[in-house]
Amino acid sequence: MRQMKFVDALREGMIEEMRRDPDVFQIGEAIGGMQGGIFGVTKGLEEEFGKDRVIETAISEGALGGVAVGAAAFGMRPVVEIMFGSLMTLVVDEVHNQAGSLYYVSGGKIPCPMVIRTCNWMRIISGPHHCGNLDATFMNSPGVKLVIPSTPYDAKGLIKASIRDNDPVVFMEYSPLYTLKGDVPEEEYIVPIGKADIKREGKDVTVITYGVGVHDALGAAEELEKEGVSVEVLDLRTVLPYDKDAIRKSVAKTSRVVITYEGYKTGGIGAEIAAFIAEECIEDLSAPILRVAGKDVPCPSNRRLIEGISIGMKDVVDAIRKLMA
Amino acid sequence: MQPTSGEMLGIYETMLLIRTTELKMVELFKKGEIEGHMLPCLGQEAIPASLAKVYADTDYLVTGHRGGGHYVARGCDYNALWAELYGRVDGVTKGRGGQIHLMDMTKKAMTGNAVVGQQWGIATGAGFVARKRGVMVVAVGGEGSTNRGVFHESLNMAAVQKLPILYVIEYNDRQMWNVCSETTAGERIATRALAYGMEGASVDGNDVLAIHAKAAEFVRKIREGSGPCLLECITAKWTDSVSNLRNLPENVEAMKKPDFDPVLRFETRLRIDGVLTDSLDLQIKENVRQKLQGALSFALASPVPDRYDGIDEVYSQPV
Repeated sequence: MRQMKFVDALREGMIEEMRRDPDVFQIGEAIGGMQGGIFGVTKGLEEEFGKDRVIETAISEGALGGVAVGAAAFGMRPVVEIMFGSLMTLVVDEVHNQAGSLYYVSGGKIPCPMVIRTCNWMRIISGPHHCGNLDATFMNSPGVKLVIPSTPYDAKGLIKASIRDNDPVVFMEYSPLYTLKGDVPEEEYIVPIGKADIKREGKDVTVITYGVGVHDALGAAEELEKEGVSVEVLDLRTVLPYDKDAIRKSVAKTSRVVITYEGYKTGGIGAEIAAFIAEECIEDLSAPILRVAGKDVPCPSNRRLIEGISIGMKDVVDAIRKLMA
Repeated sequence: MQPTSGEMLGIYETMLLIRTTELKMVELFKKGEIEGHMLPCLGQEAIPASLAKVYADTDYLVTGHRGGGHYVARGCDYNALWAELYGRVDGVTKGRGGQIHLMDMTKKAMTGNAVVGQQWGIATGAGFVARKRGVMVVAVGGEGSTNRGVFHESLNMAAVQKLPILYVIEYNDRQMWNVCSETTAGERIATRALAYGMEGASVDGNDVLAIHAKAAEFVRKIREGSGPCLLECITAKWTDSVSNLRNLPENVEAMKKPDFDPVLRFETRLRIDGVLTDSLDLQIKENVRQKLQGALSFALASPVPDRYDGIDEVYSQPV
């Protein structure tokens, strides 16, 4: 199988969709030229598709969000890059109030097929305005889909699905994953939105996660295998609307749940997933649900302080040990 | 180019239809027959009616608050407008959006948005589509919306990209009860066009021919590839929202002063020019009356929605 970096797989998915549909276009700040965005995701696209389909803009997130809604409502498929996930606060109205409500409030007459891509990078020294996490904000947005891939394979398949989807998609990338390598087939494929993926089968405990958390969970599973604990890793892949059947099935099998995610713990993704399990699967549980999540603290510009608030594989291991004790 | 006599009568009929619609809406709201948030465009009728004779059927229309007049002038489904105001299933948005979210995409018209200023970004997005499809966008908003940051972001982006957009400001000098002297720096909004290197102009927004002439000139330039233009139409709104009618007198006749009422002003002009006769006027008013009556009957015959209607229409592709 062909090996590709996450960033290259993601880009390949967008290129394929731009070749397939002339109404797909990219727009954002410094996404053109040879660099192609601060993380190089759109590198080389301007060369192939030209300035009319890879559109450079000023630092104007509000207009970018509005442009996405307007272009989508009038029949094109915009893909917007917002440089950092923490800057998604600047497009909350456009995503939540405008895009999220449009299909419903138009009486099911105006679909809004737009993608806003952005990048979360909480494990880097860049302070609270660059390293925040807004995942939970968009989980609380009816009409919006929130897609967060964890592997090169999923990144490509999900960006293709997101671009083809007729609803607004917030597509969160986690920066530590850009250089991650993995299997990506040569032939075309789509990863459907709304379907979770069992990244590792296990029978004692389910770790429900997404994005970079998947890799913490996989590492923890390997570590705990040595101790005879069998960990199942459930990658949500789509956080809204999330795959309830997959959760029900896995919880019924393992009876123990850890939810791990990089965002802030309080009111985060884990709160929703835990509440869902409590409502619908409580009789399957043999232990309390544990959350391993970021502390409710703005991200400092200091490596040592970041260590104190962020989470990693070790925290997932500790949580699982606690459940198995 | 001045509109033909036939076009002028068309503009007059559209103004009357807007006026009649908005007054009926206020009346029915006061009686409690219809409910919800409504933003009448009483006093601003000349702008939508004139613009509709300038842009083409294939062009895109995006407005913010007070879009009801533009909806009517564009020729959007009039029966569905009234069913919408009554909250019925045959409303243009199935009774979900109400008066402030009127949209009829069969006419390429997004004529409602309740977050002041967001239409500028959306219209700019429509501008990218229009550029590709060889049409243009008419984007409309009040002067209050021009103090949102997205107004600047949008005009800057549109000017850099030379997007085919006519930005139209309905300057009615009121944001709720604030006036521009309290809120807005600079005398005119149109002068902001200079900052973006685009053409801008202020016209008397209660003068049909002035609006028509300048809009037609800008539309011609935009179609020739000039990039966006900014047209400021100075007008006055008679009232803020139906729930805040304090400044709308009980007797609307009192508002009908030639320098204040664009409908009366245009009627007078048409009579002086010999374009409008008594018999034509009667016929036009009868047309308007019948159209309203027909729409009211349609609306009242339409069922109210099931209370769970639409909960499965949050996504276009359920997963």
